[in-house]
Amino acid sequence: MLGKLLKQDMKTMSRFACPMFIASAAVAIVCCTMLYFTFSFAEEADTLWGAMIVVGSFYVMGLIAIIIMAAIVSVMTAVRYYKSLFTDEGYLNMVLPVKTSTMFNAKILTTVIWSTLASAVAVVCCVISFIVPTLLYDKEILDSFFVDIDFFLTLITGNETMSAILSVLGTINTITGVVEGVLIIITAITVGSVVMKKNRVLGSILFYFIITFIQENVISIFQLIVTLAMGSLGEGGAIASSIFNLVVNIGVTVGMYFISYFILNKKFNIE
Amino acid sequence: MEDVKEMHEGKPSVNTDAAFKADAPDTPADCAPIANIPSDDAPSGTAAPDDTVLSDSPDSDLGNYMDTPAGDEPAAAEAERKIILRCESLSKSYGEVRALDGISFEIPEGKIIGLLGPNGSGKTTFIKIVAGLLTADSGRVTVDGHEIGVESKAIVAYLPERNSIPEHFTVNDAIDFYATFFNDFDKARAEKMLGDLRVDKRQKIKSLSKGTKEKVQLVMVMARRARLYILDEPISGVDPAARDYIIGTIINNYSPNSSVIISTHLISDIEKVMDGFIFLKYGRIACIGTPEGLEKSLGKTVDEYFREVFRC
Repeated sequence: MLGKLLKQDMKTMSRFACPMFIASAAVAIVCCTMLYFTFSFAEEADTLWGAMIVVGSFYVMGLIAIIIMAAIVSVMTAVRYYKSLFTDEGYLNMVLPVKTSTMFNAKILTTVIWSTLASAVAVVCCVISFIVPTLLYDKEILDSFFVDIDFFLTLITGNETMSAILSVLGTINTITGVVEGVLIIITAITVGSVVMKKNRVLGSILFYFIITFIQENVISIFQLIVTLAMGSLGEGGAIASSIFNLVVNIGVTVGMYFISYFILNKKFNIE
Repeated sequence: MEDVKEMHEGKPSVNTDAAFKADAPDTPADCAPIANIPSDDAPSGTAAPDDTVLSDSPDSDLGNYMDTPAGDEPAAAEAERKIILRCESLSKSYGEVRALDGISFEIPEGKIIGLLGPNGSGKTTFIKIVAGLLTADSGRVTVDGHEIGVESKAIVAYLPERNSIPEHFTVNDAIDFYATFFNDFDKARAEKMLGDLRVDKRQKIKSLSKGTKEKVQLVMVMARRARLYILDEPISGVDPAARDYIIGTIINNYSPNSSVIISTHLISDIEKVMDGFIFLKYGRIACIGTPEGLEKSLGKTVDEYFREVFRC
């Protein structure tokens, strides 16, 4: 049944997300052109500085639009979760012959998949918007850019091995961070909708800020302790901090999962 | 009313089979299990409480109006009917408000039961618990022997008061959705019913009128071969012609081994198809019986009696 639910939820979300992804790709292509012209105008900056600023501004706006579209898709996944369970659609979804846990897992997976896809599409579009025109115009600009990035990483981590370890941990942290973020949003919607039945949307937003506020403050306190201890940890400090973040991500994710599941299983009521 | 008194004092109003004995202690003493509602071909007897209990006090039991079988054979046949829905001391509160207060009754297969009561009487809460949308505070509900859960949901077809089909769906999407998740969904039956109601399957739900949405939703529910149909206000938003079709659909589409619970305020429209009725008042069973039993004992229709009992 999980497969059927996933297929259904993915299909529903795709109606909205796919056009947004196509639009992001289209904006990325436009951005490529913009950056290429910006490079060209830069050669004669004395006379074409006005055109360079205008085209460059459009390029930046394009990148912002891509990021906004990704954010909209992520917000829409949360809205879909809310609509499918806490509005009239809930009368259908919650009487399907499936376990509450299966239903909940399908919703979480759908939200995580689409949120991750939205982020991935935004990153890919932004990177392409930079790499393609740079390659077309002058490959050396790109090479020097990567040299700078590499230099920066080595500078903050100390050596290449540490840089590699931190890159891996950073990737894992990013993935768990996405899942954690999704679970926080889902929990806020679930708690807010059950506690504030008269104004579920406001309740969801309010609980999102409450949960985030508590989570951020608790993490900050622990982060401070780790940072203070980092002095004695030497080069491993950055890794310790990264591992700490990972543990926090997983802890918050698990906690949020069980809170939401308990509410859906025991306290659920649509009115 | 002499006849009513005589019947009440002369013999037990209902059979006391095993199912009836399962009633909770705080269920009004004269309340009878729907399990004892006779089938259409059963000889009739009448039972009702005496005048003193025919009050509209919130805590009083208004009585039983069962058309009880007189002969042994129909009674035995009734006893053999499998119980589809069994509620035992079911309670649910919302904070201080007690929505259901220890109600107990049973519904056998092959019955159409009207669940009636004014707003706030606990009808929707009861329906939501049976459908699996709410968890009861105490008591027990089983559907065909299954506790409320995945198994019960697979055999309960629930029609909510509101349109639950996603607005972005087309009617075809709705058919596919039901066919995917409900093994008992009969696609051909759904398509035929939609054709009868002249609903275009390519249309999006959001483009349909309120009445047509209700029709589509009812078709999705009645196209299932479920054991228990729970219909919450199935005819409230449709025109009289469609109402007749819907009532006909309810009668024609459920099989003898399934039962239907209809909650509605349009009592006169469904009275003719009801095998029994339950009046809920302040979360308790105020009255339980059959239209025939009520007619014989008080000379009133269910609609007339409802207006009398729940007069504001």
